[in-house]
Amino acid sequence: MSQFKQYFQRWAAKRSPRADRVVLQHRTIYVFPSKQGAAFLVLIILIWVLGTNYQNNLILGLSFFLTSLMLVSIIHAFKNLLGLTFVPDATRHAAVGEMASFDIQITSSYQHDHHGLLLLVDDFYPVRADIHAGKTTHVQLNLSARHRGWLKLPRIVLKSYFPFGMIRAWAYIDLKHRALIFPQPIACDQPPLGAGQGDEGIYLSTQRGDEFQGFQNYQPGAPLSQIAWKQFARGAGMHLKDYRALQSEQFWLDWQALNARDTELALSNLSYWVNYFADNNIEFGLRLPQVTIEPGVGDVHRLDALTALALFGRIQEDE
Amino acid sequence: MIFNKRPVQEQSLSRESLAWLFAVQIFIIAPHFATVPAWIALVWGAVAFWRWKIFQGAWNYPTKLKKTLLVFVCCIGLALSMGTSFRFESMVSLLVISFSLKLLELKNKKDFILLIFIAFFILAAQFIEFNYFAAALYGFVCLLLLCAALMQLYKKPGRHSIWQYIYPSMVILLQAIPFMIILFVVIPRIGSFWAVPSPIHAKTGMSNSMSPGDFTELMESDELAFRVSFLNAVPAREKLYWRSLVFSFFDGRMWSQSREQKTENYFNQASKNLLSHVQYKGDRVEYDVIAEASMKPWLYALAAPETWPQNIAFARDMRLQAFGPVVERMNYHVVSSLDYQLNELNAAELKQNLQLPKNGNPQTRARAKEWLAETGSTDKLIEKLFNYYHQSFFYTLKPPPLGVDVVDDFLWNSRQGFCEHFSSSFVYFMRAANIPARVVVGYQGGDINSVNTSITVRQRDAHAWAEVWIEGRGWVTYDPTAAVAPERVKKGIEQSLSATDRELLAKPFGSSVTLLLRIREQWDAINLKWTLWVMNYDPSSQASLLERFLGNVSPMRVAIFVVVSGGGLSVLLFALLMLRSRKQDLPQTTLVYFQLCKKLKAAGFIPFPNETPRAFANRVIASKPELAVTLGHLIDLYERWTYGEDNQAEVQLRSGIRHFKV
Repeated sequence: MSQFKQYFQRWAAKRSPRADRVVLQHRTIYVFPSKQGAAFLVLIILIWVLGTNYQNNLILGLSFFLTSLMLVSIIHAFKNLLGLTFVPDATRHAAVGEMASFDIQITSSYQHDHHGLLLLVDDFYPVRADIHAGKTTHVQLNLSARHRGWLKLPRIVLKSYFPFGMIRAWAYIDLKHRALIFPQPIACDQPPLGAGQGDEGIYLSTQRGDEFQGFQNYQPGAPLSQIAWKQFARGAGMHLKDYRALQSEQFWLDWQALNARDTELALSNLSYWVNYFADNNIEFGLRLPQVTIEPGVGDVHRLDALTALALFGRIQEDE
Repeated sequence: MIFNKRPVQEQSLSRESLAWLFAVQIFIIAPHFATVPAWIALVWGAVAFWRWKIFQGAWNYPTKLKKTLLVFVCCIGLALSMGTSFRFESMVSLLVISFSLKLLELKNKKDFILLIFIAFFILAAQFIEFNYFAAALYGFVCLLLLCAALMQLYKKPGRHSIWQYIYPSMVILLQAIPFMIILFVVIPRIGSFWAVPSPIHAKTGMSNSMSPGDFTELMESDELAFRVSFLNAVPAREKLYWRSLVFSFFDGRMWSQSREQKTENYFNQASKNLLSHVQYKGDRVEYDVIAEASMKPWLYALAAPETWPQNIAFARDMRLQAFGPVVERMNYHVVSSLDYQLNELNAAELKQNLQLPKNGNPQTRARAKEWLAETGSTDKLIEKLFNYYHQSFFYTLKPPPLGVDVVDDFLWNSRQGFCEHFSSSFVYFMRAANIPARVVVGYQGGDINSVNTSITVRQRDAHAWAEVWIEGRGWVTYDPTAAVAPERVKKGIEQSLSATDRELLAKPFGSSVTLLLRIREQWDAINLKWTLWVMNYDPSSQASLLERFLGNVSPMRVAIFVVVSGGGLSVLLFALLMLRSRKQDLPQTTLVYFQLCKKLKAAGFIPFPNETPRAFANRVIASKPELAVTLGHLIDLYERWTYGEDNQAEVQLRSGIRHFKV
């Protein structure tokens, strides 16, 4: 049995390769009686025996009707999956130990509804979806992040027991869809600040502060509070007042400053401090053996830093 | 991975599921109350209420002790109301009770499915009892509800109207019908595996004896006795004397079969002997009888039967009988010769048909001898007696009670009665005059259905008449009732009665309104067809039907037929389903534009998803400047049609695209 399973798996995998977009065709949909269907067959046999014993054509007819019902539901089970299109959408990155989520767009290309779809990834509870004719539905699949780096969305098993639960129709959907998993933040006493970078002096931060630095040309979309209204009233045109914060120290989170015997722990520590600085709006830079990220603030900067940590030592792979 | 076990989600039931289950149970159980004791309804009601309270969170699931107690109480109740013997009724009752009690164990979807499966089985069991066309229709409704209840589990939870389950279930059920018909026609029928208990009913029907008043009960019953479908025209009503039993023995009050008539020999050797002495003179009628279960062996046929099926016996007294009690509906084909003559009466029979009790009814005995002497011949005597009936008797279903000498009291005193009194007194009178005679009971006439050539005979058509042995003519039928009330045989019993008597008579539904009568006739015709074609479809009819379609019937041919027809139907169904789904409601303008795109695709140009027709055309013209004029014109037309609603442009565009070449 297990050999058959393996053979089937290999055969099925060949039929549905990993792709950017999966459209369910007759080649990639499988149907088989479910456990309930097997029980239903037993029921049909029982009714047939009853009808034969009583020589009652109406009872025999019922058993034939139920058999036909099962036959017809094969077609409907198949039709329930046919023509569904799966396209990857956004992902939510996560740290190790959290849940990463993958959004998937499901579109029906036929003029009928698709009911009771169950999407399974690994051993998680199935996600239910019902897709209406010609409409697009978004489904979010959650996966627990176990390892740092790219988490590829595993093959999805799409199942449906519609219409009566006697027939299971299923398909494998292998989407090119991945989420970034950051190292799990682990606190340590001191931020691993880089040595040799502790130049004394005052730095002008890249972020806005309250030290007036001069005027800049107006850019559409700038906050109204920043516009130099007095100058504008004098007819000098639109200008922006440029305020910068002054920072006494520039923080460099540095790989070298850590005892790097345990790479993963070091990355976790760095990850903790990246989040700490970013949360507190403190400007910081990150220096890793191969990558240097110049000082900065904000979510994009944080993402850059975390990405660098997540992919540390990982060979670039293409999806 | 497909065979891997996944963590099973404990899926609790929705309010909707529970409501569906209650509805399904009501529909499934209801017909069984013809068989099971009524208190089971109370059990179901109580259990359903309990389950509802559990759903609301007010009550708890019963403990093991309570469950055991409940089962115990139900079993006791069952034993009290049906006895401990294992019968069909107790089997069904047990099934229905367990179906009801299972509600208290209903926790998740698995239990729900189990209950629905039990419901399928109980639905099948109801056809043992009811198998007319109406039962099939009701069964379809039940099936529809069961399917909808199952479907409800596999659709997105939430409040839906019930039609959202019923309509798609209906569609699937209807699609399954052709497959079912193929299976029904082709799947071989085999005999019972083991003996099964049948439903036993206290049926009204002809009993094996006749004493005054016995027939009253029959006349009050509207129950179906049998149906007859004639191959050709229906004979005149007054010729339709359906023989069931012949009584040759009279004990002074009650007519019954003689000892001889009850022996096996009467069906074997003796009946064979008789057949060689029957002269079939003509007036042949060919008909199918569908006899309802009567729990009695006697059947119904017109005299004299010429051919009958193997599974039926012919009795020497010119009637047909089954080998055992008719416990379920039975169908048989008979050819009868209405005009016949019997040339043999052995000595024992002669004696038997002259038998009278030693004493009693002195007046009749005296008068019989007196009248015979007066008239001189059998014919004349009968004529005189008939005249007497005709002049001074009154036909009524409510005769006054008779004294000890039943015949004397009736003939010379009360002179009121119906068929049983007339036939009884007539035969007595004949025997007293030393003329062999016997009483025949059965049914007379029936409701003639004008839609098809068929007759429906009910218990109220029960009748008794007489036969007199006349040398050289054999047994001759005389109906003394007809002498008093000729309408009885010509128009049916209802027409022959006075208004007050008619009240006594069972009335089939709608017999007073012409339109309803018409509908009933149609309905009867459908039921007859149903019985003949569907319920009586057996190995022999299967063989002949298959032979008609497939020629030589071999298992190989049947298998090929099943595969080809089943496969063909599936493909057809699938194609139809997809075709209907595929049809997208795109505007005409877009469809026409797609035609243009198709032509350009052949040249390697494919529009981008967001590209307007104009932009696409410009891109094509950029690389193929020779198309500038034609393509530009087409796009102009397209825009004029689409945005300017210029219908002239449509015509030009369509023809333009047709002639367009890259």
